[in-house]
Amino acid sequence: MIKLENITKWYSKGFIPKKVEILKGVTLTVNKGDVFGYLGPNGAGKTTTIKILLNLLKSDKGSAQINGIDVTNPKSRQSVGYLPEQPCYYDYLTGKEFLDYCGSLFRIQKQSLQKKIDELLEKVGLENARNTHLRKYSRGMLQRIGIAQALINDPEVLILDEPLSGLDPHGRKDVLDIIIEQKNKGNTIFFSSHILADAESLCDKIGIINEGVLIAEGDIDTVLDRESASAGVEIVYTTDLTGIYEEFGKFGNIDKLQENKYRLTMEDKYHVNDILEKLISSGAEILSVNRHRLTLEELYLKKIR
Amino acid sequence: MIIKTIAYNTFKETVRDKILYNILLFALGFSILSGIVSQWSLNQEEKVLQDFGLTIISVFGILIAVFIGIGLLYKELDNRTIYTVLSKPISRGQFLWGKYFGLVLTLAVNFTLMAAGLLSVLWLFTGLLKVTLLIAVGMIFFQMTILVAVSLFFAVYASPVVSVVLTLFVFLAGNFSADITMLNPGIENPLFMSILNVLFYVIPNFSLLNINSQIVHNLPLNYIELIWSIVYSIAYSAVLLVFGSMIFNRKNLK
Repeated sequence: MIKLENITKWYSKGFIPKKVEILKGVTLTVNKGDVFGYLGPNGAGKTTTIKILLNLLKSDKGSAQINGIDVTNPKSRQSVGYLPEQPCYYDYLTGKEFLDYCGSLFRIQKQSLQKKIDELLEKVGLENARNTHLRKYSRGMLQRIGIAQALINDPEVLILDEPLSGLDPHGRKDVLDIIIEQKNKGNTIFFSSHILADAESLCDKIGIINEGVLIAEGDIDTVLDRESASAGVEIVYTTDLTGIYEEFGKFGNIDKLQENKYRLTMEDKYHVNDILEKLISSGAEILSVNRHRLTLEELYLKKIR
Repeated sequence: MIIKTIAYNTFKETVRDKILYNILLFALGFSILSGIVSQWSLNQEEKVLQDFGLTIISVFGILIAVFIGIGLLYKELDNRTIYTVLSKPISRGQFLWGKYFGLVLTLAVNFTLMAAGLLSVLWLFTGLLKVTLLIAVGMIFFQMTILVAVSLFFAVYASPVVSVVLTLFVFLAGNFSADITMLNPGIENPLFMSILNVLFYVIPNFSLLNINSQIVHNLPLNYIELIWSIVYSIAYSAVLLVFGSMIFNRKNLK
């Protein structure tokens, strides 16, 4: 479980140091087994939050815990796997040596470590590059070895910083499969991303951060339902009358679905019954009336303006 | 266990670094050069060669301790490889101690090679096999272990250039720190004297570990003193690394 309470972080910038607040009292909880998507634009504070969780940065206020252990205690990272945003590893080591080094830092027994290394190299498709120095690895291969090192300790908590960035479609699929596999194992996954479609398909929970403030957080369906409450109503209707398109366009957006079939996404400030009466009296036939549900992308764009 | 793992990886990094081989090649080149130069000295070949050889070992030891030491830590921070290591269940103190022992191991291997080179050159040019030179080389090695601790202490919070300058300053000052006590009787200002006294205890006393002239001139050695000097170098390095770990622990890794 991951718990952040009122995390605040400042940086000093400029020749005459000026305090800039990067995180402004971020509070969130990720429960065991949750897949949490941490979303936000560049510079919003996603990587800073992750670095605080790993004790690479010190928060100026607040507290952070992993599995009930304060992040300043190295033991909090015993069951954590971390994939950094930029895959920067020791280029003088081979893939196998690198995993061996990472596993040793978790105090994994030599014999079981060798077995685990073989298994992981196969899983990430690098078994043929096991004895190649990392300096000869491509960006995609580095991302794969990065994932292998993040899984070396069979982590209960996976922290992935932009795990899908810079990968080709094949690489993206492989990484997504690994995340789904970890999710099915019941592990907790905390990942930051720009790619909303992936987040929507993978996550149970989301948090949207902008300018250091967590502006939306919670169960993905609950958040989307809550935010959709003010997103308007969709009325699908048929009509063969010309001119009705323009007349009702002032109440919201009209999309032509088929010949003579339209969808009016109506803004909330208008009364549904009034509009329905107007449509019926204009000769339209009402096919359906639904509350419009935001997609994650629409929610994100609505929140980050 | 963790410190050993990091130390071994650090050693591996230095061994696979081309700079180290360049340094070793230069050291060997200079040793041979010193053999040739010593031939011009009148009946002093052995002494000139020993003096020259020990100086070369000191200079190249400094290069390894300062430049590779500071460079390695800077590379970890600059290339962000440190994120992968510190995201594992290890403390920053363990990381720093691991780096230290890795560098000390690198020094030990290099000093062994350089000592073997010096003994061979001395034997080749003069026919003399002087094993006591190894004691002098050993004491230079302990000087360098302090210097590695000093360079890592500065490298955890200062830029590489500043760290190099400060470390070299400490090395120079440390070679003259014994002279501070000799200045004392001539100083009347009590404040200035107190500052000098503090400096004497803070700056490492490298002259304690310098027995080059005694070895070269075959003077008797006080072995008890030598053992205490080694204990001093270990204690000094340990204290510095404890302070370095405390500072490193507070550092934000951006």
